[in-house]
Amino acid sequence: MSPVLELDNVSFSFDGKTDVLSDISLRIDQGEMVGLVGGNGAGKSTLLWCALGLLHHRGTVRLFGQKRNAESSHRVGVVFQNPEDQLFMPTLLEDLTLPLFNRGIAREEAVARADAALQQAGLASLSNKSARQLSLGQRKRAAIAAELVCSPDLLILDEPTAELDGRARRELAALLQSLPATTLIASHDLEFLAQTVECVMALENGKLRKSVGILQFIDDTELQKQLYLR
Amino acid sequence: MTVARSTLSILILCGLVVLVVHGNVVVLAVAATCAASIEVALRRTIHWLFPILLFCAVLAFLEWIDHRTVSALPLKALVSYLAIAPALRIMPWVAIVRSVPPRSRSFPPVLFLLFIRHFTLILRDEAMRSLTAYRLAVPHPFRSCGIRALAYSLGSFFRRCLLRAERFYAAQLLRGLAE
Repeated sequence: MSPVLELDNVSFSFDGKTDVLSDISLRIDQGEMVGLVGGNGAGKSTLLWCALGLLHHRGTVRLFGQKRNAESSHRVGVVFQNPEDQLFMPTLLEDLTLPLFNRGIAREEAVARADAALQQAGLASLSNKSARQLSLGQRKRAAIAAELVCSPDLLILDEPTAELDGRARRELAALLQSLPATTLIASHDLEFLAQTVECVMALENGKLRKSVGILQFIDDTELQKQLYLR
Repeated sequence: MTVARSTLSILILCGLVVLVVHGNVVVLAVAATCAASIEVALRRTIHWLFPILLFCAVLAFLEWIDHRTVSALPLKALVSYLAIAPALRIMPWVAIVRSVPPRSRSFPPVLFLLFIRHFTLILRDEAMRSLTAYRLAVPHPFRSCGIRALAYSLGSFFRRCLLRAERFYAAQLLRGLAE
């Protein structure tokens, strides 16, 4: 299996004194679906931001076996907790075609790929609606479709089920199960992770504590209590 | 219809530029009153006016603190908001975006306008959220702690706007739009 994302001794501090992340090392291989779990303030989102190069950190991040650069970053799709921050065009179709136009893809092909991604996300009938007119669950799926359209090799999701109801969570889980991309999901929603990932990495106070299979993690109630997940 | 809507919104924006550059206080005040009356009549509500009025009042207060005189700037800010809000609403965005070739030179200005529109909506959403939270927390604004709560509310409004702007920039950076 070739590595998709590798972190070597990644540390980060907001104030230069206290480390929010300390010496995190992990590796995610191609085709893996991994969950990143931890209580509020454990450092999940910060770790994702470091992995994406949005925060200046210590240590090394490698994407697809090489040091992170513009080319390798283009192969990563990211869905933030609040999808409103990602979708801003007048319609969903424009939101999806924009990054393709930006990469020099012709309009016909871009529209066809956007239609296919919307179809996959179950939003084909809403392609002419603005993201602001959709429900939160639909907006989350639209944000995922906006990343799928670029055929990412690694898909990163930050708290995808935050504020979603049961039906929206089921729809989102079904969508993620159908994806071929390597996936990293930061969440503390164990029920959702049980449906979507194979293994989890547990983060506690900025330190990577354990990496286990999802079923083993769900059975380990003591560990969940220690991580403030229960 | 698309042409008519585009023309109307461009006329409003051009009129605004002329008004802001050449209009005196009386003309600005008349324009603000007319625009506000039309908007209130169309929306049939008045609460949406409070955040911008508050913003202008804070601006005037800061000017007064600094120079002990108040310029026409707060009034210009009010007129700008009252003109830009309907102009952006009337603008046929879908038709404009679809008619401009994506790799052409006209596309970046359209994208820029869409960014402005998005940030306007963020400001509006966050202003309404802060105002609602403030009104729920402080039923009597002029009693004890009312003003202090308003200051904290304004602080949280700017912090939230900055946070959302930062996330928006990060999202577009990752999508490759900053290149």
